[in-house]
Amino acid sequence: MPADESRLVADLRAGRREAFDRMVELHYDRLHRLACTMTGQSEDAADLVQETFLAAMKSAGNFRGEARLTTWLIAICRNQYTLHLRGRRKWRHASLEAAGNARAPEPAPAIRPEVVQILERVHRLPEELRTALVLFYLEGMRYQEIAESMECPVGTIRSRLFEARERLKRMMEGDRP
Amino acid sequence: MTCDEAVRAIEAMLDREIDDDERMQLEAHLAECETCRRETEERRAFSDRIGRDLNDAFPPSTRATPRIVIRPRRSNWVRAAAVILVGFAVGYVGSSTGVFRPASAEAREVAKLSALKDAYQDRSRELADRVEREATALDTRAAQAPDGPRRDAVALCVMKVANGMAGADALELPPEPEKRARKVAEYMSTANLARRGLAIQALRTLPATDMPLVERQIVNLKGTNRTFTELYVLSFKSPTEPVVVMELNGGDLRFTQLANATLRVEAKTASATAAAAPRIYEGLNMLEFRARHPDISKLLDLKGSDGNFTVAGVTQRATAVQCRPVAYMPAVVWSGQERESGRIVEALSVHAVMAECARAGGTVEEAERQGLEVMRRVQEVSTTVYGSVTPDPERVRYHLTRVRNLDSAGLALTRERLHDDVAALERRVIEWQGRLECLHQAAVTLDYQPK
Repeated sequence: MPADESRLVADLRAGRREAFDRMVELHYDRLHRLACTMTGQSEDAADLVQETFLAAMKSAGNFRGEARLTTWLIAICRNQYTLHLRGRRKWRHASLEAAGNARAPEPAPAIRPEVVQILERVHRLPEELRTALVLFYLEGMRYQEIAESMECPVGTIRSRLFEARERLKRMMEGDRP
Repeated sequence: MTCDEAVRAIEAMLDREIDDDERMQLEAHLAECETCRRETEERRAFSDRIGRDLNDAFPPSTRATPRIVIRPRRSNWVRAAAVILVGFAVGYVGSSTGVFRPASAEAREVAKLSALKDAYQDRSRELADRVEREATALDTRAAQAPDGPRRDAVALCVMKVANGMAGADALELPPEPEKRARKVAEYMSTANLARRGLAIQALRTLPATDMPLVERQIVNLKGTNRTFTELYVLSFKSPTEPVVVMELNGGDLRFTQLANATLRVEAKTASATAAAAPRIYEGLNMLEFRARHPDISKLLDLKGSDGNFTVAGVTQRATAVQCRPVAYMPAVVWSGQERESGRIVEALSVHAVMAECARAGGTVEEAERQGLEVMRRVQEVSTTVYGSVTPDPERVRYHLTRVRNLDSAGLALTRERLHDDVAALERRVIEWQGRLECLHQAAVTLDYQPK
């Protein structure tokens, strides 16, 4: 683990507020992207990320720093998502106005139809395959890093990525007229 | 490796997660399997598309719009949520003031390096394809050319390229001499350069007693494979009796050329003791001697090539001297890719043209003129510029979306890894350029027509 991250983990474990700020700042984008592909909805994704950070804060004292912070957060995010699927987490959204925040959401940029299609197909993949795919393509993680995040052997990640692409291909072929 | 195994290995290769052993097996498979080569390109395109589309769906500027969530049912976490709120606020202010966005200089450097790595990989693949294509074309042309020194030279150049592509694995040979000679011939006769390289390396391990068996296999070969094997067998037969012997300078110099083209000059030293050993100058053949010992060559006014030369103003023609370039074989074929091949191939071309001129009855002066002329043409090839490798701005942007989330430690680690990868790829590209250059020089020699 790099020295900067070791310091950050030590501060998190000590419950320092600046450390939580820094963690959010460093990892929000990454988790949000992953969460978007898990939930399929930007709003749900934001909630999932928030649940993840809350859970991370709660268990920071138990984080021994053996894995990378990213790896740990991704594992938490996946757990939170699983809890949600099992109906044990209900995300409730409040309007921005209700929260007293004046900043309105920016309109989503136009997304090409083929991008929308691939997103839909990615979302139809089982969670294990989808997460491996997203961590590889969006986060640029190596097999080893993905394996640590998903707590499985490297060979499994290789198989999952292979399977994910095969399924995507089959879906696309099935879509052809 | 079967096609099914290859398909999985292709994915790992495209993901840059393949180990060296598997890569070698895959490359050997791809060299032979057109279907899997097509599969590689299709999967590369598909993988690029997934990466591009996913990144397009989440462009950096539209991410990170953290919302504030009021969670009344978790009042005990309001404090914690407030902390996060601060975090978001920091992130938002940071992004709006440019503290965290746009991507840092480090991220841009890593993205640029990633794109450079892609560019080197593309160039390496492109050159590898060209080498295979051009070697096959040159092979076909050489097979149609008449037997002679130029065809010998082309065969050595093609086999030099094949030898460089053999990889680290050795060809497993059966213990029975006849079977192993047959296996070497079988590998030698394939169109695939890497397999031919394996055969060349296996040939070197065979004992001299196997050479008659290898010679019997020559009938099963054709084109440059046949020529190369003939030359190799010939090098074992190389006769060593003196063909030209001259006493010069009142007996102070003794000039000898053997039937295998080896050239030797013994010079008496000016020592006071009569029993002092003479100084000996040797070369594999006339041209090699002239290059290696320019002073003594100038003193002797040495001109021409093997069996057709002038020394101290005396012309010598000796058809018994072996003119086939067996003497060049170690220098041309066995030398590794790290050695500068240009000069050797150049010398091989000069040797071939001069030998052909002598065979056609040309004078020493005419052979010298043609030798210089072909050398100039070959040198022009070696200055060919293949174009620099530069990162594609589109790819830089694509990689920026992948790396901008990395923290500074992650960026530093990635940068180090990329530096190593790029350096290794650069070396590979240089190797491929060297191989291509060697083939182009051989083509010039094959096509040479004296003015």
